[in-house]
Amino acid sequence: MNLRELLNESCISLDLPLDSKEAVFRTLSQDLNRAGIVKDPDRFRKAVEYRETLSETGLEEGIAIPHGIDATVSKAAIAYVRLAVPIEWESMDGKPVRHVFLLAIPENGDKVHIRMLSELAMHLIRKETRDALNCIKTKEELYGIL
Amino acid sequence: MNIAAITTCTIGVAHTYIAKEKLIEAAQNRGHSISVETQGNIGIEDELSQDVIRAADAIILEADIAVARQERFKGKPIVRVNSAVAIKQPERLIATVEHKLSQGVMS
Repeated sequence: MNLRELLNESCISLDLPLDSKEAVFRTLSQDLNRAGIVKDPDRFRKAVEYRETLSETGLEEGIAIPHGIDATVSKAAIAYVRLAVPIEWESMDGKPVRHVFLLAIPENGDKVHIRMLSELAMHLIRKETRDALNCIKTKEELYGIL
Repeated sequence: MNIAAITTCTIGVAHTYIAKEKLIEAAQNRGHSISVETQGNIGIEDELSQDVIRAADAIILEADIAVARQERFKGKPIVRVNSAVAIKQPERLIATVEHKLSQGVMS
């Protein structure tokens, strides 16, 4: 199990011009669907939107980790987008969000994989990671810093 | 002081673990020793031992949902907060615990 299995290259987008949370969820859910991870992207998106109603998923300094748990998710995975322009998001520090890591969580998923999602979330609150995310130019570099 | 804490959240994958990181960092910055048990999607990890609980001056329950096995903390001073508090202002949370303990206002 490595990061590439969790974060498929086809689920990484750099500098996309999306202007709302809804557009972000739609795009990333479709990416996960095309990668064969989420069978029903609309249903998964609704699970993510439900989670948003419980508490904020924006962390600090422009990073958000929305997540959804649903039977339509076949295995634990992540989709990432760096937005061309930061958007409004309910976050811990009130700042807009530029980096979105959408976590797809299966029901009754394999513990090892779910644990990796948690470790990624912990990694993302470190300043070095946040700074590096703003600077990367290629998908390869993203794997390097995570 | 010695702090024992539990973190848990609704989905149990992200905030539970971020809150743990934040609590440990804040407690250490303020010169305290801390043990944190996570109650996540994958179950309980780093379970608080009886010795750790006995030695704890205060218990922090950082939870958006019910904390499992709270009976272990009978008679201990407990502070309850939701995960956003531990993630947003961890040092302030620790300072509040220090203050409450010094004033003897925790039940």
